[in-house]
Amino acid sequence: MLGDDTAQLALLTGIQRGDPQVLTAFDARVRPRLIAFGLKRGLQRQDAEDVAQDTLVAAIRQIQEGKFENRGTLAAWTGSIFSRRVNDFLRKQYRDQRTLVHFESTDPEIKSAALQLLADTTAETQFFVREVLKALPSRERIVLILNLLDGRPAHEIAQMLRLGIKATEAILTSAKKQFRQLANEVQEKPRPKRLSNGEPL
Amino acid sequence: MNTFGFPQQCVAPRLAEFVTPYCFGDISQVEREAFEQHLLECDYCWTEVQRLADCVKVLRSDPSVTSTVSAGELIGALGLSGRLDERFAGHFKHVLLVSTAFALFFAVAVFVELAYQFDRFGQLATLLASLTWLWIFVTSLIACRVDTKGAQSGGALTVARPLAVLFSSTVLLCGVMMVILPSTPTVVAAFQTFPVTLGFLKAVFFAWLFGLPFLFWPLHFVLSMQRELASGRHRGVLKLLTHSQEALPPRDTPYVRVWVLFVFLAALSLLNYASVSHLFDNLLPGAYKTLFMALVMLRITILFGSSALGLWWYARALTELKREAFAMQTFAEPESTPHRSVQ
Repeated sequence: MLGDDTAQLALLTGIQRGDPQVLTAFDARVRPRLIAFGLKRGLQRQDAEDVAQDTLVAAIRQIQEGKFENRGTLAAWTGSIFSRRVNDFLRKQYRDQRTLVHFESTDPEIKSAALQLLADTTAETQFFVREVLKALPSRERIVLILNLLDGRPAHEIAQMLRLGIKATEAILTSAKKQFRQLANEVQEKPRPKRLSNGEPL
Repeated sequence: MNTFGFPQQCVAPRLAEFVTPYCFGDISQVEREAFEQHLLECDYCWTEVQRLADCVKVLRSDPSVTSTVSAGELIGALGLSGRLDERFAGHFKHVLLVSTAFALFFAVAVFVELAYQFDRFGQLATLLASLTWLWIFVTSLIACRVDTKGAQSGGALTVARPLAVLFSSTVLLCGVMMVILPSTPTVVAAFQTFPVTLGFLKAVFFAWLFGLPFLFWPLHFVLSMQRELASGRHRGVLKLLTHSQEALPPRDTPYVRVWVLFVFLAALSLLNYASVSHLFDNLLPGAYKTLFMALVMLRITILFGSSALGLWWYARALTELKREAFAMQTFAEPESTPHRSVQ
């Protein structure tokens, strides 16, 4: 994209001209990614959308004002604008003495955020994840579930399963890699038609 | 190709490796920023991240994922059978103890045989004992490793392979010792004593008499039971360990009960008491008589102490195996839960 010289030049020219098609395509491409990055940093969805919007507006305005000097890639430049916006947001949030969202919180609004996380995923995805998990070796499966669903750190899992801490960390790393690999393999298999709960017909 | 003509395959495979750690949150800030910049450019990695991130969301929040773990698998993971694939099947410390003890049986024997004339053979004894200990320790570790690998591989689990390793190493050692050790007696007693070479062979015999039933055989049997449990044959294991008449041990792996070994150890201790008493009563004075007696007592302590430890470990491992087999049977077949308590 934002890295290939020819493509970058085409994009910059289109934005500088204010070409609506180029602006729409740029927005469609970058906005979802920036929102995902914001969510990764612990922002609420609304906040992540706001920061993404600010970033896009700032990036487009600065390109049109000729402030992008073409020294690095547009991706790196956009990413740095986004990082600064997120840091500013988090600093403001800290100053306002608002805490970040934690799943363990008993605040009903926050609890519902955790449930919302699950509701955001489809039944098909949930079924898919269960199928991938079943393909994992049992030890890796147990360690992965204890770590991600139960939120237990490696040293606690090591104590429960009477393993060494390093060995548990190695199993966890291996489990995550295998999960991704198996997810690709399961994805490539032809999928049967499914009921509304994700189970096959 | 997409709207701006950007490539559809990842052009930075080194960065593509960050997909998994990024989605699972195992990435440093610097790496994350670099990877996110890459995601702004790379449709391929972005698609991968979206798919995997959805899965991670489910893993973090959907309680139904626990249904993918059966009770049997959980019990196995918490029990001995879940450790079959670890180093020495989870018995690394015990294997170290077994190898150290078995090596000491031989090393102390060298000192014992040469102690009576320590002024003449002291240096030789120290050198030979150190080398002997190292040789037997390493070959014992190898024998245990062979046994463990046999259990982990799923093929035929036979005690012949580790025994062959131990036997070969002992024969080689004895061959070398027959050449180096003096062929005259050093111990002076009221009766005819063995030459050093024969005395060493006698010590080797006792090392095997104690080592095989109390150190190596229990490890082999526990490994075979771990494998049986890991293969889902918990009913057979439970029948065997609860002495059911229908029990069938795995091929070439008879079940030697703890009390049998205990009685054997007790018998050995009585015999040993008699023979050592006879020896000590008939020793003639010498400059190193006290040293010799102390080393004999040390050897006895090592022989019986490590055998007792081996027996204790065996009893504990059998109890754990029984517990695991019973738990598996309870959750796998609730209708056939035996009506008896588990020790």
